[in-house]
Amino acid sequence: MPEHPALAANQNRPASIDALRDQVARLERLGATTQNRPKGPGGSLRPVTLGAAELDRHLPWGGLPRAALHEVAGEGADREEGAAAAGFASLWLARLQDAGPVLWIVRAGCRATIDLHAHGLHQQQLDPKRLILVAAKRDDEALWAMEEGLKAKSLGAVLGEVEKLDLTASRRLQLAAETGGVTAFVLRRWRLMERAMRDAAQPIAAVTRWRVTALPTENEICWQVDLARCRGGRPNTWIMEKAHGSDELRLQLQRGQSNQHAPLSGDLAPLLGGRPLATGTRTN
Amino acid sequence: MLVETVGPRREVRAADPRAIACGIAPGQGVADAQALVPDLLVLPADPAGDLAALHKLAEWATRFSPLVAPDPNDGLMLDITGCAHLWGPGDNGEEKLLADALQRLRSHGFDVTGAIAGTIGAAWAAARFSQSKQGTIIPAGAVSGALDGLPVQALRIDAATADGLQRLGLRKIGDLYPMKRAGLAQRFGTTLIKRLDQALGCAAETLSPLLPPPEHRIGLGFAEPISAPESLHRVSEILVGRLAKELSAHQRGARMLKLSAYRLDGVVSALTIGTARASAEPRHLFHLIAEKLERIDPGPGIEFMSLAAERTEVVTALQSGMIDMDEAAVSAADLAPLMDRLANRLGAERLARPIPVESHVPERAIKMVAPLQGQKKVQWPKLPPRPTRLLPNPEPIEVMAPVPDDPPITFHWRRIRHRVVWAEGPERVAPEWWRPASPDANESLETRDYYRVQDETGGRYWLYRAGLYQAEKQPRWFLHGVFA
Repeated sequence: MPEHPALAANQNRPASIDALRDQVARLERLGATTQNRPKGPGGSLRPVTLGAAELDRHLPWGGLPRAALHEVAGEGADREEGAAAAGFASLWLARLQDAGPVLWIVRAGCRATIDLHAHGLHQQQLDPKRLILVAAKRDDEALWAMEEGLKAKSLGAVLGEVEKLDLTASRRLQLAAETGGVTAFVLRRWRLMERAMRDAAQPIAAVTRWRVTALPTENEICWQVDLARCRGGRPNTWIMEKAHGSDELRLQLQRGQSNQHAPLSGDLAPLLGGRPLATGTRTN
Repeated sequence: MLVETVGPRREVRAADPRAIACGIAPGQGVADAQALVPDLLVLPADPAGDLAALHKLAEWATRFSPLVAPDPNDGLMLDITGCAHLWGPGDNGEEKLLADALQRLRSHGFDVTGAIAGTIGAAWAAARFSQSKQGTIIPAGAVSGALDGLPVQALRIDAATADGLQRLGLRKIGDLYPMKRAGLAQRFGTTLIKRLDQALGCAAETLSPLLPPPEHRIGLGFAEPISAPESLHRVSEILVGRLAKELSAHQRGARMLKLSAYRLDGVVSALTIGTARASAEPRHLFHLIAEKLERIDPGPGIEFMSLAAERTEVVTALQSGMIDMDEAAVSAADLAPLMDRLANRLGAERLARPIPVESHVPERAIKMVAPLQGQKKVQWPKLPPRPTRLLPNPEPIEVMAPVPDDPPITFHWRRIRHRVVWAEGPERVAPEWWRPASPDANESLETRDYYRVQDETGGRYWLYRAGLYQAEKQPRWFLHGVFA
């Protein structure tokens, strides 16, 4: 099997391959809306980059394509809690906010029971001032709200927390994202673990599918990020870390082993419990 | 015949014309009535039901004028100022309106009379006491002439006063005109004078309408009743177009619209929509209405529809100096229609924008406001690490802590046991005693010591111990959030 052009190094790539890639992108309709919708400072549909070169380069578009559907899901307990997944999604959303406000559809009964914490998201670089929350009780409400949001061209991105998502529903979202030119994310959040195990592997029409696992760490965040599926690209696994206390986000990306459960490096070994590490901050 | 129980006695409350012809009158005892007509049909009266029916009828009557007041027990009052010309030019319009109203009510099986006059009192008197079947119209300036032949009961006075007047030989309203007002007032109280003045237009009287009058309203009647969804669609579109035109002519935008469908059977089916920002954009407004149009039940057919702007606001550009630039981005023109569609379908309480609040208590540190509500510029504070998920209500957990003042080594949350491998804290949050206590006053008035803990799988949680450490008391622990 010949190596995918995306995996070839960015430098000294033959022009013909570039042309082929453009053609493929056109066929896949990714970025097809470039002409009718100027986005971002460059006025183009440039892909979103995390600023972590290795990850950005691994994606065939040189970043996450806009105007497409992406899936983010937690692993383990986070399938239910959706905390690490929300953090990871925030990183992308924060980089889409220059294109417009972000619509986040949360699973909640009403405004008062939304469990998304804006201060926490703010620490993941998402600007809460450009965040609109919608509480959706059921999946059908969330999917409908997502579709409506994707039609609003002035939004930067739409994220919906969804439990069940089939091929048809995800195709609708992908199509809406393409036509509206708004980037869409589904954050999978299951109520039952058994359901999650069964559902997570079902095929959906997302362009990329990400799995996030929180790993023991002393740092502020440490995730194992799996790119489980990528249209026109290869799955991969990284360890992503963000240092404590620093305001600026520093991502350390390590190319993990190709198997899903990459062992941890030794220096990340957890410390013993019951012993506070850092001196407590007192807000009083 | 309808019967009502007044004290120990069962009285006749209402009787149909045939019963009245047999000599039965309201106020009579039931036993007496049954003695007169042995095979009398006696039914219990339902005053509450009657009142409700009257209100429904009043709602129906808003097709003639937006200002309708039910006048218990058996009347409706309409302020038709400026409405009559819709039925025809000049006085002709009033005539046609009255005839139309009476004819429609009769076709619904009501036994009605009506009158149009310059004052409420005069119309009331003429409707009830002049015998004309097609209704009475008292032209302006002819009120006293029209009233003087009517009995004094037509002045909306109680039975005792009317009796008293009649005993003095004052049987007609006209008899009262030459009387000394002071004498009348002394003998019968000021109500009589007030009623007389109101009827003659010497004292002001206003209707208290059932519904507050809308600021702008468009109506459309149909020659043939409509009921097909497509027709409803089309009619709403026309109504929205006309209303939007009228609104923009006044430089106003709708915040709330009510679409009412008046059905053949006298039922009014209505729907209401709200908008996040005043809008006079027909396409946007129509979209909101079309989404809910299925809630209009056409029943046997709709003969009249109206669209009213119940609340309007002046359409203005946002004052940019007051509002944060980012807020302006959030309230970009394109978003108002989206917010309205979401609010229309899901409810306005489902939409929110987080605003930071200066509070150490985590659940109070964020306030959810309406998405497009203007806000002063706010600074997002720098805080110690905060979870991405904060539970709306902290959940009690079972913990095992070797030293009472330390973070736990294991805890159970949602039936899963977590072994703590790493902990950081405490971050002490003092109760905010100066704030009004929340429903769980105990909870919020306790000092909390927050810990960030990590379990062996890498999940990071935000736990707190409620209350200060007390040797004799078992500390209570709660889980409040999950970190990214």
